[in-house]
Amino acid sequence: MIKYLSNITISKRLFMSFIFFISLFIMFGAYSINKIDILSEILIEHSNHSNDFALSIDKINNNKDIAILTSTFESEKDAFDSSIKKMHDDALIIMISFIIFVSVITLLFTLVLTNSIKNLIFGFQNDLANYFKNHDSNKHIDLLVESDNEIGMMAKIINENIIKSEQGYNLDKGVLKEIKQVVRRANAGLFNSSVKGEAFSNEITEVASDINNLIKGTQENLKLLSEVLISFSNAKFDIEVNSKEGVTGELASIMSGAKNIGETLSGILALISISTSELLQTSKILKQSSNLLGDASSLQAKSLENTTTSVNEILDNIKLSNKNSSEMSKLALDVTTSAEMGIKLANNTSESMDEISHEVNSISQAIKIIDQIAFQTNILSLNAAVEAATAGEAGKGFAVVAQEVRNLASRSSSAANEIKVIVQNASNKANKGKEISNKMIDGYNILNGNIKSTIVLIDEVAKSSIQQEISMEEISSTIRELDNVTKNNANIASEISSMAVKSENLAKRLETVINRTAFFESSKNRVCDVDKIFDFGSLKADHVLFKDTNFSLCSNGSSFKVKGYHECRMGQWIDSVSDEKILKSPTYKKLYDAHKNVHMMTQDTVNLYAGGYPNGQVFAVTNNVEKNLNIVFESLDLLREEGCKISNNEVN
Amino acid sequence: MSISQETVLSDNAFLVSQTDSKGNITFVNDEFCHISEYKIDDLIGKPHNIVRHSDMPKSVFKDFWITIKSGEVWNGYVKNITASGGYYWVFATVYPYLDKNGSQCYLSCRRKPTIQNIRNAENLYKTMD
Repeated sequence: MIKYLSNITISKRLFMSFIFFISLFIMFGAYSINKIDILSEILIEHSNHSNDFALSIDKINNNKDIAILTSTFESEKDAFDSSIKKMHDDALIIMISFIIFVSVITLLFTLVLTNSIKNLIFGFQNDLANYFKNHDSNKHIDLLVESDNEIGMMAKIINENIIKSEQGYNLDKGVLKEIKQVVRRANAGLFNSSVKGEAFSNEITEVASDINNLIKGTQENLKLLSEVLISFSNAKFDIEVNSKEGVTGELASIMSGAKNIGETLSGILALISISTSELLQTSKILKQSSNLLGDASSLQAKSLENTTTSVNEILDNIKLSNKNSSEMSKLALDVTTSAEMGIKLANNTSESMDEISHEVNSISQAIKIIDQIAFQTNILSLNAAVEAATAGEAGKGFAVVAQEVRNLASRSSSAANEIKVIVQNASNKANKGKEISNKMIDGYNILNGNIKSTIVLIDEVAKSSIQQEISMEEISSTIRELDNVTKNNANIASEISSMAVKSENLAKRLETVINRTAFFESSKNRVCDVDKIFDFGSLKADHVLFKDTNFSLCSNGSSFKVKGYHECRMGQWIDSVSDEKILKSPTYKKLYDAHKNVHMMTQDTVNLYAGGYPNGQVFAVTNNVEKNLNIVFESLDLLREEGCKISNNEVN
Repeated sequence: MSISQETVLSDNAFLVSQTDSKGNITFVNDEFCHISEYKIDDLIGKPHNIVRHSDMPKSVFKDFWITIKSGEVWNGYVKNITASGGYYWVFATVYPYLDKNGSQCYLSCRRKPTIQNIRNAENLYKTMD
């Protein structure tokens, strides 16, 4: 309860003092009006004089009577100046004395007024303090309005306003409670609620709207990301990740990270897909080839069996011919012995022929003697006949005997001649026989030589046969080995065949797996260089990290230098490119510029942050960092594709 | 400072200015004022070509306006004139953006170019109109 000192209102007190001041003012006013009347008269007079002066100027212009007019004007001016000065002095004295008087009176009244108002305000202050004290404990308390003076009125208005601000306070409290709830939900991952209540204060309304935008924006971005991840979990990697316009910083990094995952996995899947097709084809060919090899091995095994049989037959034949050749050798030796015997016999024959020849010569000699004897006997008979004839008849008988002897001699001579012829024949024959036996010896000698040659040949044949036999044995064992190898080959071929079937099945399964995934078909055009899938992926990750690290280090007042665009790994790769085809490619130029921009613009972001620039300007730059980062990523993919085209052309 | 006097930017120089859609300066930072030798009040509201050097080919600015009006970032080496008639080279990036009232703004960030890049730009600009 506020006890006011008096019920006299402030306005009444003020009114009393006002009346007092007014009477003072009237007194002073009456005096002043008198003085001001005089002053205005003088001014009106002066104004008339001025009109005259204006007319005089016209006259000057017209009549050129300068001297007269000037003296008139100067005398009037002096009179006017002296009266003004007097007036001024009087007014000054009245004014100063009045001001002193009023000041003293005002001071007195102020003291009295201040004291009474102070008391009123003190009571009011107590009440207000009481209100705020209770207000803190959330208990509604009205100011006690007892008097109907201004303070009472003020208390009424304050009471009304207290009710209003309490209503506003409650509205704000409700909204703040809602904000707290919504923020806590969002913190737990629920982005489905928003602040719906309307706050009393503009600031809280703005905060609520900002929080709603934050939650809505985050929800939309997370929804996008969630869709991407769901698509990934369904093995659909060909989803286009389009982050919302104006998204930057870590959120943009997550989005570009998701995009990169899709692209890298697409690359890997494309590689697996291409490899699977090739594997499928290769395993088909392998299966066919191994079947062919198996068939060929079986055929070879059969041929080898036949060969073994033939070789065995040949071996038998060789063995037989070995046996034959040793028999031939034996026979040849026999022939040699026989031939030698033949030579011996022929020699004997020759000797015998010589002996016969000798004997025939002896016979010839003997026949010569017989012939000589016959001749001599003939002569003797002739002599006896002559004698007998001489002896006549006595000798007739004798003559007959002599005749007979002569006949005998003649017969002996002819017989001798015949024998001579025969002996000659015999001698001829013997000579011929010798000749023949000599020829026989020659023949035997030739035969002997031939037989010796034959024996040598037979020996050689025998030796060769033995060699042949050994070789054939070797061939036989080789064939046996070959046969084993072939059988082994056949086994291996069948193993390969079953492996080929297995790998074909594996490839088919892989194909099924790949067919159940979805990835960017365009990835197939850039997987020729496996290293680049991973190298470029790593370069991309570098720059997401580069951006994130520098953005997170950004703070007001601290400027630092980010890595230059020649210093990072990508920059070094870009600078190291020497292939004319790549250097001339517009994609390379695009990559070069965008990469440079990423570094430059990140530096701009750091500087703008450090300089405390407003969000609008910072975002203008960060949005372009993201834009250029995307261009870098796209250019890297395109470069890989172009690289594959170039290498394909070179291969073709 | 004589006409041909070049002001070389420090290694970490960062000159910022901003214009409205018509190219009138709405903001400059202290470094910009220091290098261009103007007071901030002499620049605000003035067209940005107050620092345009006569050696710069017109076609460069034609390309500049076409690029930023289409909403794209413009990059380039620019020779600017100082209040006393000297000059300085910058590597500028101009970012178009809409402020919170939706008005078109152009934010320009400038840094020190390398000597080699200045030489290249000089030689290129000599061949241009």
